[in-house]
Amino acid sequence: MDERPHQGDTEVVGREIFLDLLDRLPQAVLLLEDDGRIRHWSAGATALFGYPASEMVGQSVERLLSPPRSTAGETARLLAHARAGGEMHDLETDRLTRDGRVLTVLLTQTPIRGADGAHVGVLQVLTDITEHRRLLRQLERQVHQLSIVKEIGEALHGTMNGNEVLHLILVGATAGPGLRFNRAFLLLADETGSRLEGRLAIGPSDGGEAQRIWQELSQQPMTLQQMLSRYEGSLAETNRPLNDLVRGLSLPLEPPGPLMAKAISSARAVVLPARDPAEDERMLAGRLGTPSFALALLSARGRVIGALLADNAITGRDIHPEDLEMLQLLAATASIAIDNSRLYAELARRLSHLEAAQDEARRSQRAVRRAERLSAIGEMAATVAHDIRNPLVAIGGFARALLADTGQDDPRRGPLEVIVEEVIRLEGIVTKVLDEARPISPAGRAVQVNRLLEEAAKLLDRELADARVAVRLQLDPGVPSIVADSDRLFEMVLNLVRNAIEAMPEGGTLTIATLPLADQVEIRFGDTGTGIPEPIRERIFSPFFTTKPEGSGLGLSVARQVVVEHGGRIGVDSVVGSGSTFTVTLPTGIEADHGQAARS
Amino acid sequence: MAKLLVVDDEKNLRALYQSELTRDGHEVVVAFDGQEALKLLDQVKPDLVVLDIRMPGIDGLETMARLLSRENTLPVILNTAYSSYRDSFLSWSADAYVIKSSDLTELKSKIREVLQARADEKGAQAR
Repeated sequence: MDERPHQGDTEVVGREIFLDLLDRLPQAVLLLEDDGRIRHWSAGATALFGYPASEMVGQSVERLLSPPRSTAGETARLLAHARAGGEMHDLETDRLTRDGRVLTVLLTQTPIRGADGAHVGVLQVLTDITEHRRLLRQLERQVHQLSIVKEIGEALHGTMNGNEVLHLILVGATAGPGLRFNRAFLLLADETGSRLEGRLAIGPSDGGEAQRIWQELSQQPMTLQQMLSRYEGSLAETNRPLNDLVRGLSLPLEPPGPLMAKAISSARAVVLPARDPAEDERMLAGRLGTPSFALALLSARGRVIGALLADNAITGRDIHPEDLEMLQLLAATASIAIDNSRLYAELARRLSHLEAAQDEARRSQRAVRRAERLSAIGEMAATVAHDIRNPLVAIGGFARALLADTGQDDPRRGPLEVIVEEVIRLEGIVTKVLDEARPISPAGRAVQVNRLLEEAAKLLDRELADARVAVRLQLDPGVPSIVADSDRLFEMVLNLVRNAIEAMPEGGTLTIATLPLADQVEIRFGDTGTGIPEPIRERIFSPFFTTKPEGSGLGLSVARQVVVEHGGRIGVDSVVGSGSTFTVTLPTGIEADHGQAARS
Repeated sequence: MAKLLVVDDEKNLRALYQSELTRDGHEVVVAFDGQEALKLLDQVKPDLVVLDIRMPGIDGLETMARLLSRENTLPVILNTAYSSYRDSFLSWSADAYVIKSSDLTELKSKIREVLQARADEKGAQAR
């Protein structure tokens, strides 16, 4: 600027400096005439609105006023305010740029007076806050979104019930004060993780039902919290048509179809069908009866566990990016809640198994302890009773002898009779104790199986002959002694032999064979009787099972009991019409010293 | 008059049986265990043996088996404090099973019965 101000014209110089200063400010600074025409247009104004000063100076400031917000009459009001000497600070208003953008600005103005103090114009300073406003609105929206998802999240944390969790997710997705979708669908991965299967859905089945529901809600508005806390039992029942629909949905996950592949690769909620839709996208939209739907994947610990679908099929409202953000947030919270509820259920299941096992262990421990105590008491009682009985016999026996030698008038007769009577009483008690408390432990002594069988056959000789049953003994001399209770074994043999006799009502042959095995002895009882039909073969060892009119049904169960007591096995082979063979296998046990087989 | 061998490990019971069975008209020899009974068998040649079951060393059932293996027609009466052995098939070889009691009536009558039965058998064989 080489044009120098005229010397002495200080007012003009001051004005130039002032205007130069205004141009240096970043804000738009406008100097207006009293009628609103622009007298000065600062460099900042050019930068903000795009008009050069040459275009704007002399024009009305009305040119900057934008139609969207009601700014009609604003200029007149501002000018009048200034004329009255009033200042204006930070008025938020809209202005239009040269290229048609609407800016949000803060307006500050101050009246300007001439040297004589008369009002000559207005100085307006406009600060662009469009970007601030946009960021603030975005922040507010996000806070609102977060507060909604947080509320749903809190409701989800309040339960560990898997069904209730699914229910809450869907309510949150569709509630008016929630995500506001018309309908929502949940698909969950199956056990193998190879497919997503439709599980639960929420929403009206048609426009009529939607109208009815929204009518009701508008009459009695509810907060999100109220809607979430109203768990009305199974959605599958209350939203039946939609749930029938969702349960028919199944999407391949491993490997994924084009639709799932798209959702997985985007890692965010997506709107489908996309611009260039795959066949399965179109098909799914068709099944749902909607032009488009939003899909967010549910994932936990690095695996896809499900998908949350939502649409506005009833109102046709577009799905906005904010809706997708919300759905993504909800899906993230929902994933954690579903995963937690599953872990909790798994934990509860294992805990109850553990508790059951512990209960069982405790019960059997108690039973064992009781049995041990009873058995110990029994043995002790038997021993004591036995030890008392012998002296009683001596006392009572001699008292009787003395009594027999005592004359009718002898004064010693009375006391002797008392002794005899009391001994009888004591012997009665001892007998009772011994009968009730027999030693339980089986007497383990070496039993020669072959000899036992020979003796049994001899003892049953008459019975077998009467039944016209011939006995063939095929006893292997190599069969060793086994540690066993010979009485119980004899009982077993008796029962098996009698069973064979009964199986041969017309008589026949009973073959009893023994065979030494590694550390076992095998005994076979083969008859030529009627045989046992296949269907009842399993049951013949059960107590009270009998096919014979006069049988007690206990014989074979007793035989099996004895075998079990000795740690052995019993089985049967049978051919109906030609006979049965019972095979008993007994462990030899520890080789006992035969000579030491004493009972005392 | 029959000759009886009474086997019991209780001293006082041996005294009782000796006294009472003698009074009943028998000649009574006592043994304090199975070993002694086996030793006395040939020397005494009893007509009948009364055997306790629970004794130290070899028990009554084992003693009976050994006595019978040497003298298979020897009558044996098991006389015990236990009723449980009655069901044991090992006891089945005995001619009678008596549970010990201060009332010796049952024992005495069993002795008579068994001796009578043997006498009848011998008579039948002699004829």
